[in-house]
Amino acid sequence: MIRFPRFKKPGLLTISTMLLFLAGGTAVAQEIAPASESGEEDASTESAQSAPVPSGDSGDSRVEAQQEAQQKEIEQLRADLEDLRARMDEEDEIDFDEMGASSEFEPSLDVYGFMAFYAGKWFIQEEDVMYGIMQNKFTFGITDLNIYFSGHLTETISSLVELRFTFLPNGADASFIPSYERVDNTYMDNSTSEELTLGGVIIERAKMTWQPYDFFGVSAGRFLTPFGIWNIDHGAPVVIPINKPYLMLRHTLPLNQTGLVVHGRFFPAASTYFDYAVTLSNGRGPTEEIYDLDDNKAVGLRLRLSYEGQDVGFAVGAYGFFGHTTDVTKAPGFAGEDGTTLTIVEEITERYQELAGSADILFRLWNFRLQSEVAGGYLKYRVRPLVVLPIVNVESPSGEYQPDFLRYSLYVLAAYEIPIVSGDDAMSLTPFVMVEYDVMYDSLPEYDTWIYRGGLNFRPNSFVVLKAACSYVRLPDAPNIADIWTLAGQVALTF
Amino acid sequence: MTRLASVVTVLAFVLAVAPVARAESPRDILVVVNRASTVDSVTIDELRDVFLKKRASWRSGGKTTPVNASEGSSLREDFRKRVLNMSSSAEKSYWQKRKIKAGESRPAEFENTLRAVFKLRGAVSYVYRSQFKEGTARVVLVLPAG
Repeated sequence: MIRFPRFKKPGLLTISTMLLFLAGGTAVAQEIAPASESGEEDASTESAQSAPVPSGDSGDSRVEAQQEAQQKEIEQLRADLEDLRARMDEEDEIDFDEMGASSEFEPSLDVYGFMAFYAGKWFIQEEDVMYGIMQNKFTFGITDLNIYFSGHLTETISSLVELRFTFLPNGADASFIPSYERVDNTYMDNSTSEELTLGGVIIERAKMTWQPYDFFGVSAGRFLTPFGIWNIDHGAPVVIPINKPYLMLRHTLPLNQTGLVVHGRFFPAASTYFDYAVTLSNGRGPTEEIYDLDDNKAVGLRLRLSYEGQDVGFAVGAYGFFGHTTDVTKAPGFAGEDGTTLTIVEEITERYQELAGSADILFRLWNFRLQSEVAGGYLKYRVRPLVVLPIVNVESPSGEYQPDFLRYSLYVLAAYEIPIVSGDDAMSLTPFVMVEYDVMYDSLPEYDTWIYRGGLNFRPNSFVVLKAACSYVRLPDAPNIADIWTLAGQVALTF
Repeated sequence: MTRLASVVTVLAFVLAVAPVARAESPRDILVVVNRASTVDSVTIDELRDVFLKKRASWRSGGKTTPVNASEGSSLREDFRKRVLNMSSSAEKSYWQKRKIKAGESRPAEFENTLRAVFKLRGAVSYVYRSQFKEGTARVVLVLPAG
């Protein structure tokens, strides 16, 4: 609770009174002036003056003396007023110091997050290859647990860290061929003999930002790739469906990057925004979060125009990405004239050049929302690895090398928010439908996938959303993958 | 005579459509900035952008630090309706999303917004006319009551 006694002090009343008096005094002085000009004597005015007037003086000199006395009084009142203002400022400073604030920007740190609890089942035919790969039993799970640390250090410098906690890699399928293996991260604490299962932490974002102007800012660190709608929304309480679209699952564009972003916003008209972002990063790679395995940096450009009116809104955006991805293996060797100097030799096992991009559109009319994204990329190999079989992620036994390929994915989502209760305790229902089409490799058309989703969200307040959804997945050209149904429920909340 | 009639007609029209001087009300909301601010005036659109943190600087330059009245106060409610044009619930939802998407927190809240503006350089907030004290802050926009 902030105290502000300054305005409750009787000193202000004093000032007001003095101001009134000052104004009154000035008025009197103005009234006297014409009288002095006319040379008439005013008995009442004379009696009202406290300054002694020498007897025998002319009328002019008496009026001048009165004016002089009043002028002194006015000056004294002005001085008193300034003195009071200074004292009020001083008292205010003391009060402000007492409550621990300062007149400068006060650094702050906000800690908050969101989580999502999931229940669901995939209905897959037992003879289907997907049966053993996907989760086919009814199960519960925690799909999201993200914690934010948002710091504002100065008016222009801020930091943002978003950590995603997961039980993985424990329990993940490590391999199917030639034998099945599962990651087991269970260890015994020798001091207590208790078995502990270790999970993991994904650093979604860890960036520091300098933003001196709206139209120019620089961020450094780990950031979300500024493409599309879903990757920016990304939290279960914000996105509408339960399941991510394939363009997110397949990482058609890298979801996160490590490097620099120059970004800014312009305001071309009321409620209209033009945003840009230029990214420079390690791009993709097996170690890109830590270091790059080649000197070629990935570059990207994001442009977005949006209008956010009260009843209508729209946004169109695009992101382009160009980068090189390299994987290496390292082996010890010996060099030098006598062949005894130990060296570590790098050998490139995979390198490709990637040109990728996305486009997104969002349209809102009252409570109706239509959004769509498309993302794709062309990968051209310089050093080709062996072909890896999709889904099971094992090298093809045929021994063929990976060809260049194109991949792309798109979705269209329509939703309508129906208010149940309006006002401050608003509740709403949001039915939605979504259609996706995904081409994993244009060289493997049998894996082209259609996904149809539908569901209903219930939002009892602004912190919680309950979701129920079903999906139908179809790979029309896959010889050994039948259609799949899924049912899922989710409770997502922010805290 | 025809010219006179035209003049009279035009004058009558001008008087009919001319805005009637409106009396000040203690429930007018005064948008105020720190005395050191160089901002002279703001528009409602600009103010909405500032309080929804869609912009961090004034159009005329200078960083902004929006300061809200306490949640639940009539002043906050009036400002929300007149400027943000949204309900309390919609504003909460907006900030939940902004936090997750951009890591952006809602503006600080003060019981006495005038004091906060008086002390905090770059601050912008609002008070009822009846609460305003001359010399403590600069008025950059008046939102008439009702």
